[in-house]
Amino acid sequence: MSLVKLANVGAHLQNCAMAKLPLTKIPYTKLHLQIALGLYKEGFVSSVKRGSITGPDLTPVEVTPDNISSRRLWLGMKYRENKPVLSKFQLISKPNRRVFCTSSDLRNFAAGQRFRFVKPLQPGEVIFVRTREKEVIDLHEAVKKQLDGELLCRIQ
Amino acid sequence: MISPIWIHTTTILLRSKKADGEQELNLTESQELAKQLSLATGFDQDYITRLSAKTLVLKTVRNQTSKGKISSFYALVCVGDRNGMLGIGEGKDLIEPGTAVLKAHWQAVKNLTRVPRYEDRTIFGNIEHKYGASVVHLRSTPPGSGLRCNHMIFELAQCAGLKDLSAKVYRSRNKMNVVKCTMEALMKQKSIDEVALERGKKVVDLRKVYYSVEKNDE
Repeated sequence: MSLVKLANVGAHLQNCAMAKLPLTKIPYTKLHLQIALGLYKEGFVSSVKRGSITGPDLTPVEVTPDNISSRRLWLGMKYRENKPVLSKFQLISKPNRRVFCTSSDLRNFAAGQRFRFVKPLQPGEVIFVRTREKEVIDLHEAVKKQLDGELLCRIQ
Repeated sequence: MISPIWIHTTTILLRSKKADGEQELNLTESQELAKQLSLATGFDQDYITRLSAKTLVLKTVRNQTSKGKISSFYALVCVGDRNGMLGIGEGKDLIEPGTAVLKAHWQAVKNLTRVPRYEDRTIFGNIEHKYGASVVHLRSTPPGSGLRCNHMIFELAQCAGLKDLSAKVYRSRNKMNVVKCTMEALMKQKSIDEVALERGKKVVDLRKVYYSVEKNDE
């Protein structure tokens, strides 16, 4: 959807990690939900909960046009030995310069090669790719399924 | 292309070509030093004497006081066991540069910490770190590449036991700051096992699984 909002989310999560906050809220959008679930699957985040401005919902609340403006996604941050698990969250494809890859490009990138100006994959780094079906998946998943996609963000 | 720097190792103290009486004095002096250090740090006395030390910076520094400029000697020494432990220490002395080096050596041994290494030869991935005005980019390299880096980083890597490394120093190349920047950068690393524990994932080294022959001794 909006990469501007995703960039803000990235900056916010980095700030929260530095401030050692246990829970943070991000805007509730389809892209944010996909990214949040991706983070949860990779183990960067301990919990993903829907909620309101004040806090996560204890009982499930249906999202309607009446309450959509107050809906947020609450993420549980993880820390170990005084260090945050999610320390870096940077966009690759930016609003002023989008980055698209073919399946063969993605394969080489996953193997550790540099892709044009995009720095090579680091050990323990996770890269989210948005496919043509607007599905956000991990880089290695995309390579397995031989899909093309937009390199959204890199997380360490 | 190492610039000539004053080399100081604890072993050279022992092997110095002097009169027998003096040599014995040096032996007991360094042994005393190692004994005191082992009490202070908890490391084995033998381990401390076998550490390799390198004087990275030795210069005169001046303090302007009402009585004029008072110059003293400043030393920055790095100490390592060439097997994953590295420490740096600073020392100052008013009269002798040797004493400053000794103080720095003492501090360095006290500041010994473990440096995470991948395959005991290089760092994990690439690191970019900024300390003051010095920016250091460290890159891991394949086996056999050697240490292709700044002379200060070279000495640190040698003492730490890193065998393959590529580095570039941007902005300020002030020796003291480069050394401090590199130390922080090396400590900033996260080993793959650490990352796996953080995220709750299982890590498998494919090379070890498919290509290594591990003997199971029962």
